[in-house]
Amino acid sequence: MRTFFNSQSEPWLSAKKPKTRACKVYMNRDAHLNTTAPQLNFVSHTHTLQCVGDWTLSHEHTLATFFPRITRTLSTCSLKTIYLDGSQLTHLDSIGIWWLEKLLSLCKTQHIHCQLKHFSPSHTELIELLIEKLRESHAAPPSPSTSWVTQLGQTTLSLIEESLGLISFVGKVTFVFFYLLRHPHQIQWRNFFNSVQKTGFDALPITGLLSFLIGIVLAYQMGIQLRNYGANIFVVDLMGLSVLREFAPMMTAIILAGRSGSAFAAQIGTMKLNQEVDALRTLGIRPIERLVMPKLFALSLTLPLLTVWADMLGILGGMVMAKSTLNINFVYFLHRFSQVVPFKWYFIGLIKAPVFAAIIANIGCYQGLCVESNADSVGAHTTKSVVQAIFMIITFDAFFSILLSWLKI
Amino acid sequence: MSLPIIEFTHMSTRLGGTLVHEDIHFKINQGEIFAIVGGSGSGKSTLLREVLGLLQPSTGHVTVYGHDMAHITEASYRDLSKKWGVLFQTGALFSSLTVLENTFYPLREYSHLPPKALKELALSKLLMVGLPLSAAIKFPAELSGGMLKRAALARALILDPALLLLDEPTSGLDPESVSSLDELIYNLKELLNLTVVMVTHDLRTLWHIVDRLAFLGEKKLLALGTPKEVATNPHPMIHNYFHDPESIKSHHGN
Repeated sequence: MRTFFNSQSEPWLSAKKPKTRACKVYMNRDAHLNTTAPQLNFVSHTHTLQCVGDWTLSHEHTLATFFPRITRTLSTCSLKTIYLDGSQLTHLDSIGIWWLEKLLSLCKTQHIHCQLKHFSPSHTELIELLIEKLRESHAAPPSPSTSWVTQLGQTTLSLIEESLGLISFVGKVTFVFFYLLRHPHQIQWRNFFNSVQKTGFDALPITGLLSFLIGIVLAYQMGIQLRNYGANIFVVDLMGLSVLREFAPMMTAIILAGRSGSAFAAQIGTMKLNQEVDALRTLGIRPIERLVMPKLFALSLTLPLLTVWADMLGILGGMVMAKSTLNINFVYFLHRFSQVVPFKWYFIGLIKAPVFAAIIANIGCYQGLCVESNADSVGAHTTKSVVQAIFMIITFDAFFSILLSWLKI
Repeated sequence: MSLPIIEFTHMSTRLGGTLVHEDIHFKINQGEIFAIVGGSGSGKSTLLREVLGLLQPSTGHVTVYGHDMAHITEASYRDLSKKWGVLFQTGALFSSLTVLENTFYPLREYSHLPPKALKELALSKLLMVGLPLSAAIKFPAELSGGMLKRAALARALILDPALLLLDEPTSGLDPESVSSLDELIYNLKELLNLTVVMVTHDLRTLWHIVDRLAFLGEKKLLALGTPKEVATNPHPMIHNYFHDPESIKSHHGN
């Protein structure tokens, strides 16, 4: 038997065992810090493994160091039976028992009979209880893992399902829309006005500020180019075209998709999580009628209004920039504006707004209702609602451009 | 004499202008199963939240293991978190993690154990609270109410806490499960020398395993003592609570 450790430095050990016999002590590194740090000592003449100190979570690192060494010892000592002595064990918790169980299984694989002795009754009971459960736990089914082919298939299917779901959702919304047109007294006016305030009035500062800034940037960049040709005054035409027809409606819609579409998704998603949507359904109320329609109506009203607001602030930004860099004063700007900017540009910009409103409200609410029963899902669907809404807004804007040029408007 | 683990010193609580507690003053000792009892809205859960430091009392102090919960440092709070296991009323399992991941979550936070150890320990705790192994890979949303409670209890037990705080551990469980859960709590308390503080409505639990209880009502601590002592209290609220015909039946039946 090899000697790993001289017992002299361990007072309790030298008092107990004859010095002549070889013995292995598995010391821990921080024994000096804590008097109750765990030890696992192999006393070879009694074939005993002594568990000493606290076998607890706070000493997990020390406990982990025992195992490789005891594996070596057991494989070299060729014993048939060993005893596990718990008389000097002070504290024992689940982590300690997990290592004890590892020790017992190790003995088993090496065909060594391992017997517990001198464990306190409460420790024994705890060990028996937990070891039984630990052994049962080995029969646990493995976590399901999926190959990339399966994942690809699942993703594709869920995408198709989601697209079909959106189409059927839009159908349901349309159905309820016409139903409410025939039964206007069933419209939730309180919810409607609440949504008008949140999606419209509260969004005035941010949409106004951003449109103003966009107006400034556009006028500045176009001004630089136009000045090269001495065509300063054409900034009015270009501002009218770009702000009224494209930027104001699209920017407003994108801001609202980020601001309100995400709020719809998160609100409805959380309600779904809390079973509030189920509660509505059991009360005989269609969630679409109560949750979606007020938002859709509100957004259909506020988005065109906000677009007008954005038109004004955008042009104002352009005017400020035209005055400061191109020397076009406000009166002259407005005079030319009324001459060269046709009403249809303004109208085309405005006609897009309700379409964008329908996109934002439908996608936001649909994603909210798609939320499954966990918190991650709320986050994922809120993100999706914004991304999809912005994507659809830009797609529809392109579609409008093509359609209008095809119609030669 | 056993040591006080939790002390309430002349504590009052106001929540949004409403007085919830007034002059609550008592101690919970090491090694006892202590119940906080009272009618709905008597602030039992609020009291528990104050013990957990999630809510500060308006006046007075709550002391847990000698720490004043109103002025506890982040480091001490982490140390305390290792000592207590908490079961929330609705389980409060993390919805995006499986039951197994939920169960070893605290252990992974506070240890460096290999994944295998985490998994085995979590599974053994799940088995201990009476969940089948097949429940481990499910998500909380896929579990029944009773299973959720058990899974949450497994998570509360994973660090082998010295103090177990349970908010209505047996509500929503069938009578058989209540008995087995009571037995489990009692056995764990005996084995590990735990201190258990529970908010409960269950009179069977009170009679079977509770050592002492505090009865809250009318914003005050109405009674404190062993279930027997409290049950004989003549205060009408306490009398009605303990002497409702059904509870007498169940009391005598057991």
